[in-house]
Formats: sequence, C-alpha cells, structure tokens
Amino acid sequence: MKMRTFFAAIVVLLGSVYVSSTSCNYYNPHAQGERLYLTHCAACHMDDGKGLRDLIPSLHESAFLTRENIHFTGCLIRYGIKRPDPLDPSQEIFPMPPLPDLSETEISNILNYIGNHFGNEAGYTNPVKLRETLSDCPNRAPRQY
Amino acid sequence: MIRKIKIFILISAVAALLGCHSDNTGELPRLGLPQIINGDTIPHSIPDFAFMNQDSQWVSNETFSQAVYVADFFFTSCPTICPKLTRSMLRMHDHFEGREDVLFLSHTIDVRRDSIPRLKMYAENLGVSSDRWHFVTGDRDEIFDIAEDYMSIAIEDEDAPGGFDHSGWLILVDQNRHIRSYGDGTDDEAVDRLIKDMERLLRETSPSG
Ligand code: HEC
Repeated sequence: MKMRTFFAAIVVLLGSVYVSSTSCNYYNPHAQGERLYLTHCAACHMDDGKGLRDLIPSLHESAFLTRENIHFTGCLIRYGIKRPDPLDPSQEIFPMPPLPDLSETEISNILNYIGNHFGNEAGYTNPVKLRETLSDCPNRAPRQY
Repeated sequence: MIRKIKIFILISAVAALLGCHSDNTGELPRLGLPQIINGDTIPHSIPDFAFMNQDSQWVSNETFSQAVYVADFFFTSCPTICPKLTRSMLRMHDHFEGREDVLFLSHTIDVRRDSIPRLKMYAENLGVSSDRWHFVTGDRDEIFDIAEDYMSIAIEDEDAPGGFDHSGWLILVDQNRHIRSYGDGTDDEAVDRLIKDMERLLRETSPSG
C-alpha cells in the first residue's frame, strides 16, 4: 500500500515536471519579435543570428544589444545604417536598409527578441525611452565600433 | 516577352526534372533540355563563356576543365536571398576544403555596381580567394543568357528588392560542362543533399578520391 502511494506520487511528480517543461518551452514571450526578426532581419543576419563572416556582423553578444545601447539600436532598425562607400567615399551606401514602416511597438518587439537571445542580456526596452531615442536619432549611425 | 516565355519553359523543365532527383543509385543524371544533333541525343551543356574574376583574371570553361564546380547568381548589394545563397556556397566551399578539383563560380547580375574591386572586397570579407572561388562580372546580357543555361533566372526588375529578380539555385556542373544536380541555396537540407551529390560526382569522376 505504502509502495503504491509512493509510485503514484512519483508518477504524478514526473508528469507535472513534464507538463511544466513543455509548457515553458511552448511559452514564447518574444513571438512577434521573433516573427519580425525572421521577416526583416534573418535574410542577412541569418536565423541563428550569426551573420556572415566579415560581410554581415553577428548579433551574438553584440555591443549594440546591451542594456545601455538597446534603445539606440532602434535607430539602426528604423533608419538603417548608412556609410560612405568604401570604394568611392563620395557616394553613400546602405549596408543595412532602413525600415521606415515598422511601428515603435514592432521595433520594440524586435529589440526585446534579439536583446534577450543570441547570448545578449539587454533586458526589456522602455517604451518612453524608446520613443525619445527614436525621435532623436542621429541621421547617420556612428562609425566608431 | 520572348524572355518571359523562355523563362516559363525553363521553369517547366526544372519542374519536370525534379522527378529524376530522388534516384540514389548509379550515376547522377545529366540535367537540362537535351539537344538532338544528327539523330543523337546530346545532353545539355554549358556553352563557351569568358568572364573576369575578382583578381582581374579571365575565367572560362577551361578554368573548370579539371574540376567540378558549383555556380550561382547573386549581387553584392542584394537585400534578400543572396546572403543565404552565399552562406550555403561557403558551407560547401568549407566542406571541400583542400580539394582543388572542387571550385565555385558566383556571377554578379549587377554588372554596373559590382565592379571588380567590389567583388574583390566581397570575397575578402568572406575570407575566400580565387584559388577556389571565382566572383565574376562581364557583359550583362551574356550573364543573363548564361543564367538560362544554368537553368536559373536573372533579370532586371525595378520592382524587385535591390532591382534584380533571380532564382536561388546552386548548380553543380561536371568537368564536361553537364549539369548534374542543383538545389535551393536558401534551404539547408537541399544544400546537404547537394553536398552528397557532389561527393557522388567526385567518386564517379575520380573513383580513388
Ligand atoms: C540587407 C542586409 C541586412 C538586413 C536586412 C538587416 N541588417 Fe543589420 N546589418 C547589416 C550589415 C551589413 C551591418 C553592418 C553595417 C556596418 O557596420 O557597416 C548590420 C549591422 C547591424 C547591427 C549592428 C551590429 C554590429 O555589431 O555592427 C545590428 C544591431 C543590426 N544590424 C540589427 C538588424 C536588425 C534588428 C535587422 C532587422 C530589423 C537588420 N539588422 C536587418 C545587414 C543587414
């Protein structure tokens, strides 16, 4: 009898561990961010965020995806990255294209996804701070990184 | 219009050929529309070409006469599928590291912007060299035309992202200019299969290697 109760308890315990583990996996707090990332960014930065050698930077443990810089990265998403063409500095090119049609919420969802994936620990964006940052983006992303 | 029709025929041909692909024994098939000359059926082959690579060297059929190669069509400022195509080419390139009889040929379809120095920069940023991977440019129409011989599509299209529309096939060609396999360069599983086909082709052409 005691033995039976014991086994029943084990079964219930394992069952609940199983259910909670699957439901935890199932719960994805960044579903929209992930979807937007796959639509707008993964063509270049790849699904796994690793980029392509020196052509496209990896987003893993990125200096742009830290608590300090995550809001500024919203500017890169909205306005893209513009640079003088290395082969003809009189011309400008967009190694990363702008996405002017994304809303603040969408930008924020992308940032929350990449900021907490790929080994980044940026925490969550603050909507007020994101709006302020986006309203005051430098017209060209800084080059010193 | 004629080009559109040609492309339609090509797509149908590719679709028809998809059926041949699952066969896993014997030689790889010779793909493409065969030609009938004097009653003999001649498999489709890549015609003569001469393009210039990232090191300003001419690249022609002769360059590949001792090697099997993978060809694709891309452009350096392409915002859509090219990075993934290039990544897949790079994966194959790295897989066959050290084999001088496995080469790679990427044609730019944006000959106006993709000058030789730009192709050179692209190759350097990828960390590859023309020992094994040629990035070539040349006459625009010759490139668009040869794309069709590779069963691929390359056209200028204002409405397409980056200004060009093109297919993402990676095409495997043997020493005799015949297309032996191809796969969608944006699909990792297709690329795995292409690597297997390449190994099969290499066994076929040099049984010792
Ligand atoms: C057309 C290709 C392309 C697309 C699409 C693209 N990027 Fe980029 N991204 C680049 C390139 C190239 C750079 C490097 C630019 C430079 O520094 O010159 C870059 C840089 C970045 C950086 C700075 C990283 C670093 O270490 O320099 C971040 C962050 C970033 N991208 C995020 C994104 C996000 C988020 C998206 C989608 C909303 C996106 N990118 C879409 C090509 C792209």
